[in-house]
This record gives sequence, C-alpha cells and structure tokens, in this order.
Amino acid sequence: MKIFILAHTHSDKDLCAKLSNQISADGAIWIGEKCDFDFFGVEDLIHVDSNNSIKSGRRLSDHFDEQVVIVGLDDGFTGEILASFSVSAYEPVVWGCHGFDYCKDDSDIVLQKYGFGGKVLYTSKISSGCVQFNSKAIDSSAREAKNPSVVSLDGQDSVSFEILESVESSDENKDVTSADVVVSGGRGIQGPEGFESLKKLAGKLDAAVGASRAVVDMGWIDYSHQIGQTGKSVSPKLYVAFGISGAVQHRAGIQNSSVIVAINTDRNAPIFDICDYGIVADWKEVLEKWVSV
Amino acid sequence: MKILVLAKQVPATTDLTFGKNGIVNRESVPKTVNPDDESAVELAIQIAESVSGEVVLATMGPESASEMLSELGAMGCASCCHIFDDSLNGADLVATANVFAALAKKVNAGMVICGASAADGKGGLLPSAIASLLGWDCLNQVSSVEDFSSEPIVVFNYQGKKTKAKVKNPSVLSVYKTVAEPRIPDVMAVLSAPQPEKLAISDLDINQKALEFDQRCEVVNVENVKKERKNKIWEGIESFSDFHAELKKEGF
Repeated sequence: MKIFILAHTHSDKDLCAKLSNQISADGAIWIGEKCDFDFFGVEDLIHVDSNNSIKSGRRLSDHFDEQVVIVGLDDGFTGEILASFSVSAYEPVVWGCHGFDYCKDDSDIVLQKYGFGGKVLYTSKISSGCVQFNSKAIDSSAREAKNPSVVSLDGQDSVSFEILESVESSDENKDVTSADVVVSGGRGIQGPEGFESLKKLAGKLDAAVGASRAVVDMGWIDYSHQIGQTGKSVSPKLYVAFGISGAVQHRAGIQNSSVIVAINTDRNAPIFDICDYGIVADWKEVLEKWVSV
Repeated sequence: MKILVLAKQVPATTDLTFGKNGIVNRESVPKTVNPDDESAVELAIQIAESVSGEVVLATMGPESASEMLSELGAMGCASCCHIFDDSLNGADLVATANVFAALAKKVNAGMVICGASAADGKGGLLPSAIASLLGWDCLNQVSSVEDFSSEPIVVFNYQGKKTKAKVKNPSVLSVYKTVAEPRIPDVMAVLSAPQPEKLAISDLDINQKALEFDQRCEVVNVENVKKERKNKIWEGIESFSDFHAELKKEGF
C-alpha cells in the first residue's frame, strides 16, 4: 500500500509540504495547472490538468491498480475529488481526521477523528481509501524539497456549468474552520452593525468572524459564518462568544475549541457553563477595551 | 423534467448515545428535518413549477422517516420514496451514494438537489459522490439562486471561491437553507400529500460491492470525550484587566 498526498491549484503549498512530511507520503497527486512540484518533497507525482473535481476523481480511480491511501486537506474541492474517487473505486473516505498513523500489527492506517461536535473520538483502520485531514492538526515541519518525476494523466476535463463571474464577498471571509482565533456574535450584539464592531477585534486578533444560527436566520450575516450543529464546527485555539447565549446546538459546534471565552450580560446564560474564561458585562464595553489594549 | 430531492431526518438533540461501530442510536431520540433539506425541497418545487416538471422526494432511514416525507411531500412533491432496509444501517458514503444514484436512474431524474450538509455529519461529500456515479457535474454549497428555470443561475462554492454560474442539466446541486424560504403547506395540500412509497435494496439496481461497507473501514474504538473547562468568570467591566491578563497568560 502506498500513501499519496492530493492537492490542487488552490491548495496551500506550505500546508501540503508539512502534511506530506507528517504522513510520510510516497507520492503526490496534483489537480490543475502545472506548477513547480518540488514542495511536496516526493519522488513521484501524478498530474491531472483539470478543473473538474468529479472527473478528476474518476480518472484517479481508473489510474490506480494498486492499494493506495490518498490524503487531502479539508477544503471543499479536495472533498469533491476524494468523494468521486471513493465511489468509483469502492473505497472508504474518512474526513476530519486529526490523527494518522501506521498500525503496528499490520499495514493498515490508523485514523482518529472527532464526531458530533467533539463529543466522541473515533479510532478507525483502513487498508486503502481516502482521508481528508484536518488542516489545523498539521504540526509537522515542511518536507525537504525534491523534484519529482511526473506522470500526466489525460485531463483537460471541462465543467458542464457555465461560469458567469466570481462573486466577491462583501466582508472579510476568513474561514471559521481554519482560523486559529474565531470571534463570534449572537443576538446580544443587537443588530448587523454589531458585526462591524466585531470585525475590529477580529482584525486585531487575526481572527475569523463567526455567528450563531439565530443571527444568521435574521440575516445579520452570511450563512458561511454560522457555527453550530446546523452550521460549521470549529476547532480554533481561541473562541470568543459575544452576546451568544450558548444554545446546545451552538455549543455542539465549538466544543473542540482549545479555549472558550464568553461575554454576556446574563450570568445565567448556558455559554458560561462551558467557557474557560467569561466576563459578565456589556459586549460593546468589553470589545472597545479589548480593541484599545 | 423530474427533480429528485434528498432529505434526511437528523437528531434534534446533541445528547446522543452510540452503538456498534460508533453508529448513533437514532431510534430513541427526537428527530427533525435537516435544515438545509427543507430549502432544497422548496427550490426543487419552484424549479419544477417553472418548467412544468415534477419533484420526487426521497430519504433513506428508519421507519420514522416516513413522517418527515409526508410533511415535506405536502409542500408540493409529486411522489415520495422511503428507502427502508435494515441492511443499510450504518451505510457509508459509497453505499449511500449508490442507493441514491440508482434511485435517480430508476425515476429518470434530470436533476438531483440535496442539502449542502447534514446536521449530524459534516462531510458534505454525498452530492459529489452521487454526481460521480451518474457521470454528472456537481455544484456544491449553493447559497443563492437567481433564476428558477430548468437551467438556474446559482451562486456556489467553486474551488474555494463564491462563483456565479448557469447550471446545465443533468446536474447535482447541494444547497444551503438560504436558497429559498420553505413554504408552509395549507390544509388541502396536507390532505392531498403523496403517500411515501417504501423501497428496499432489492428494488434498486446496485452493485453488491457498494453495499459491503463493513469491509471498507473498521471502527476499532469509540470514546466519549469530556473536556474540562477552567470556568473562571468575572463580573462587571471593571474586571476587564483581570480577564484580559488571564488571556495574555494563555498567549492571546
């Protein structure tokens, strides 16, 4: 069994270099336009010049006639490629993994991942298949660069949909799932303009901006910011909740945060039951002081 | 055009217990419709209304999922399929995608719409897996729709960027709940809602290999995690400096 790291045109090359080291990749797969491939630090590389995730996954399935484990980062395009490979090759996909190791007894890979908002830790074994690795769990140094020999698969697969334009988001769209710090707002910040204030602190802390379901439902901020059972699950080093009561659905999405901070005027708000640090005070006063220190 | 819409019943609580292989015990917990899926049904109905098409609603799950189909079906679906087979308990991505791809072929669907993610699982890979099996393209994480026609204009996530595109069918769309506000069916619609038709695995043309999910991945341990929190709370804005000093000690 061989281990391949999979990346594409929009993948973070630094992260790829580190992940390649962490999983001791035997080879790499690159989907998209050709570039310098030495950052993977592997000897063999498979190149598919395509912008179609579904067809790329199927091409990879046709290519491999040996058992492989393909490991990619946790972005959407990588997920699409792995899903397509998985069903084409009848192989499993394990997503959100933070642990990746060889089994001592056999040649299987042992994977660890959290489920249900961090309430459960799964340990599983696969002998082949796909792994989507939690980019926040990459803690290895970058692999030494190496110029690989490249095998190009027939590609140039176009997509059937007609792309009209790239839509720029109206706000700073740092992804809540990959940020080290997340500053979130709930009903307590009193209106959509509250998020403009939160962005000041987010800028200071290099943080992404999150939100509770209630305020997303009220249209205060885009759905992509929603954290919780019906939104995204986050695992930052620091999670700051301004004016969020801490409904169980929201708590499900933040339980993997290393440190949780709560700011709320209601001392009985459930968010205080699960926080590391909290302050019972007006959110705006806390925010202003925090921005100014 | 027939539009196949997929819906899922999810636990309405995070207080869950787990059985063999880490499979969540769904029978004993309150359930609700996955929030994105209600909007997926609404979007499908609006497209079907504009092209004189029809919506086929489907789910895979336990007996109780039929109730969900009846509720959602009353929104304006032409028919409802409940894939109900004990052998699918614990089905993985490959098995689930094969079931729904086979159903799409059986009902001759020209479009498949489903929620972008399930509240009880964050993978979001099923739509792409179904598209791959059907040989179609997939537009994931659709957040808005401009034109409810047979080739709708959608804003979706393409290679990490919000992108506006015109859909060319056949396609699979995975949508967020922001695409459409689900309608509330009136009494007449509820009374005339289609009865869910139960289908078993034997009713669908599926490669046996797709159903061998026990052999693909072995869950060797499931552990409940209880994270201890420091729970240090200050009262009043005058405590800010103490609060902030503690955060600085943590490195923030």
